[in-house]
Amino acid sequence: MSQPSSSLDPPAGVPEPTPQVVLSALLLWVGLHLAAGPIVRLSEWRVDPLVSHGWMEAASWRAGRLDLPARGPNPQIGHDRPRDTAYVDGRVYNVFPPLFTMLSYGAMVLQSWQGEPPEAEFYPPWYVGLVALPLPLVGFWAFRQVTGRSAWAAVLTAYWILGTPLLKMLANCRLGETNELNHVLSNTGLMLLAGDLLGRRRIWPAAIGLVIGMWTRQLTAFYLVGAIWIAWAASRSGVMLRMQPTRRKGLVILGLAGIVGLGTLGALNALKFGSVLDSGYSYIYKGRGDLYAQRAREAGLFDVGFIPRNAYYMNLALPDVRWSRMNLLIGGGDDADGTSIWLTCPLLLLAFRDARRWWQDPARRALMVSSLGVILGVLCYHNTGSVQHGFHRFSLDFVPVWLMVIAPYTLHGRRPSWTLAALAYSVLYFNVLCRGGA
Amino acid sequence: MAAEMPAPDRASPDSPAATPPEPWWKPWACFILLLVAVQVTLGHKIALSQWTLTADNAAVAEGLAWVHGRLDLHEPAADGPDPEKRRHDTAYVDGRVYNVFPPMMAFWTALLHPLHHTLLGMPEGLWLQTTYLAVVFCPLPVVGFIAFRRQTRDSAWAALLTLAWLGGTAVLPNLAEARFGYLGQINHVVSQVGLLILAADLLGRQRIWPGLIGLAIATYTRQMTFLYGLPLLYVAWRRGRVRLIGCLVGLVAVASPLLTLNYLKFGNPLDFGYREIYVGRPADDDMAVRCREYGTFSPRCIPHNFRAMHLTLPLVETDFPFVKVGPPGLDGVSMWLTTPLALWAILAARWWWRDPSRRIVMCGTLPVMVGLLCYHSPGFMQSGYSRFALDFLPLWLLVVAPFTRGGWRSWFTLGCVAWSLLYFNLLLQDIPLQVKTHGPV
Repeated sequence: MSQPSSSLDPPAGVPEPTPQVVLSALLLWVGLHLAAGPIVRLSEWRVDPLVSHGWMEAASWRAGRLDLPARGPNPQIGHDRPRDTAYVDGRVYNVFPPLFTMLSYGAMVLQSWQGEPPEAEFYPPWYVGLVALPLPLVGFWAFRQVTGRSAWAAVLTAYWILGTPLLKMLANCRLGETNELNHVLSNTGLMLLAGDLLGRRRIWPAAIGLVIGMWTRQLTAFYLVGAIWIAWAASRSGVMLRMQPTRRKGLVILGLAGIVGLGTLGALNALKFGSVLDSGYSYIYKGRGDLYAQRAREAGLFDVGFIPRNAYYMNLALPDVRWSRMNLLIGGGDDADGTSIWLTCPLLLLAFRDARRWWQDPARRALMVSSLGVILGVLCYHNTGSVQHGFHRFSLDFVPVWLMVIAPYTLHGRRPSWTLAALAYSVLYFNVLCRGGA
Repeated sequence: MAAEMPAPDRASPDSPAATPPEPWWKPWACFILLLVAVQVTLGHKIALSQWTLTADNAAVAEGLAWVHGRLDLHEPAADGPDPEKRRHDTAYVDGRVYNVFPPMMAFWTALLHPLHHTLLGMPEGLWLQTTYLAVVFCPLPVVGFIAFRRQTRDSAWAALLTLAWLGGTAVLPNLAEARFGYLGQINHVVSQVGLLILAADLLGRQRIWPGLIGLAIATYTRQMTFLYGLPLLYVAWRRGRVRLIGCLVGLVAVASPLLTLNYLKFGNPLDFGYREIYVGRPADDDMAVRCREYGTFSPRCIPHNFRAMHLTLPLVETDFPFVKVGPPGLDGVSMWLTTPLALWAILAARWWWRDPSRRIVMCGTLPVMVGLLCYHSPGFMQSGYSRFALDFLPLWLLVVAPFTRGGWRSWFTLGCVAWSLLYFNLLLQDIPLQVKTHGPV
């Protein structure tokens, strides 16, 4: 028998054997099930027709209309229409991006072909398959693209799913909550985008990811700029990867993605609210007198005046931590505006530590600069992301991209140890946070 | 007297020369990672915040009885042999009710009585949750990590194997049930610590006294493990006269309290009283029938027990897209299927056979296994696993630990660990967290 060695990796330059890739993916799957299973509870997932705006809107589309049914006789009052829906000219509209509406529409059509009654709910296995299943697959693929190591890709995928607010979003997908669903779907899209642009750069996967991002979180449209920059610069530099399209083809693909992604959003805006640039968010506050409604009315949806408050909650706010009789509780306080991403996801600090490295890489630089646009948009928004006890959900609009950018550097020197420590910390944090029911 | 045994084989994979020393921080970091992994992956099954131990536990009641100067349990309705009117699995002898389980928790109850009752003013028999966890749970990750690290010389791998042992063997369901203060399960959990200490000494410096401490812990929780005194005695004999005498004295010291208690309670040092727990049980009670017909131990029990421990398959139900693992009965499921990591005992047989200390430990598990197979109960109340396998499994894992890493072996081990963790995760229900902010400690 040969002397055991502790390394799981093949020698440098040797491609990983397929069984190793498959086993890493399976181990990731098991790890996710063990750590996230009790929190996410996939077996309980369903789309509540009374909660999901996408499902409600799809039902309206099926009925040949764009507006949603009101809940009561006075939909101008917030209580008489579904939460966070717009009230315009006596009609109630969904203001959230349309991807889940489209998926719901598709599911409704397929289910009707199978003889399901119109009032049937989203078939849960399809729902799980569309929303939860792609995450580990796309994450593992993407991180493997940039690290080249399956085991490490599994570790980083675990960080992304278990050690960021994504876990909290997944936990809240149990009833088809719209905000949470959109964050989860957009993360799949962003991972697809970054995995392709930082990997084989075939562009079309990035274009798909971009459209998913735009149709779930509109601000992620900023990544279109970065993607175009990368497609342009990569072919200009003369460094062409195998299967990489030409500059023109890449730009055409991305242009189409922009047209389809933004065009659909604009068209829906125009049809529902009369302007391609009006997302309808300002109308959700009609009949509401809460803090966010006041802020939106006074300063508009986006304003630089919101930056200090939003920056504080994104970067500095501490969580509420209590210890009571063997129970550690995080995030159960009154402050629902969020918690510092640096405190909850310290691995992101490598983005600063390795700034010089990623700046020297044009593709990484492009994505990071694009993410600054997203961050600026998030900071100027009239809402911090609330309700978010102990985490910051808007950060999910750039966290997957940042993780992909810094992923290769987590393998250098002492970084694996730091990464594992950060993984343990963040996973524990979100585990406790999600179990506390905050 | 035989020649003294040579020092542990320097060419074996656990040799210090084979692996460069780790930086000082790495063991600490890996141990913390282990604790995080235990919390994240097993926390919802173990639910430490929900653990309680009261005098409903027969050993706690016995400890309390000792404090009050008696041996029998004070049972308010012990006027007859009706088992419903006395604590679960207690013996009914001459109108008195006795605990038959080993006395470790009774010792602790008596020892901690001044703290719990006199100092803190808690009701008699009620344990402080902190002391309960400190005695039963806390030693597990610490001792497991140290023991596996000594064998593998790799903190990360030791952490992985410790997690596998805690979450991928019957330790997990026993931990999950220990939260109710069930005596049988507590004993299994505590015995694991003793067995690892014992095995670590036999596979390490062979100083004997740590082995005796481990043996005492194991014996006072699972009597059958006293048979590990045989390999301990053998090693002491090979190590010289002083160690042999010391070991003999130690074995007597370990056995004496048990035998004395047996004598005082049941009139015979070798009568553990297990037969008396069936007094008053219904005529169709399987265990009672088997005990009456075959006796407490009998070779005729081997086929049934062997099937339960080694061959029985679990019930797997698939209701697409969900998978549910269930028990086929209460007699247990093959340990090879629930913990395929044990396969290393076969796969690495040639290797451990060449190492005298490992050979001794592995051979030392045979009498225990035979004893378990001859017992009139296969373990019972073990839905989907074999809890009696815990009487030898930690020793096996420790013996094969150095062989489980390197190349394909690492991947095979990782696969086995993942499988076992997943199996026990699917098998056990999650425990809803109940946040306690008020009420008694």
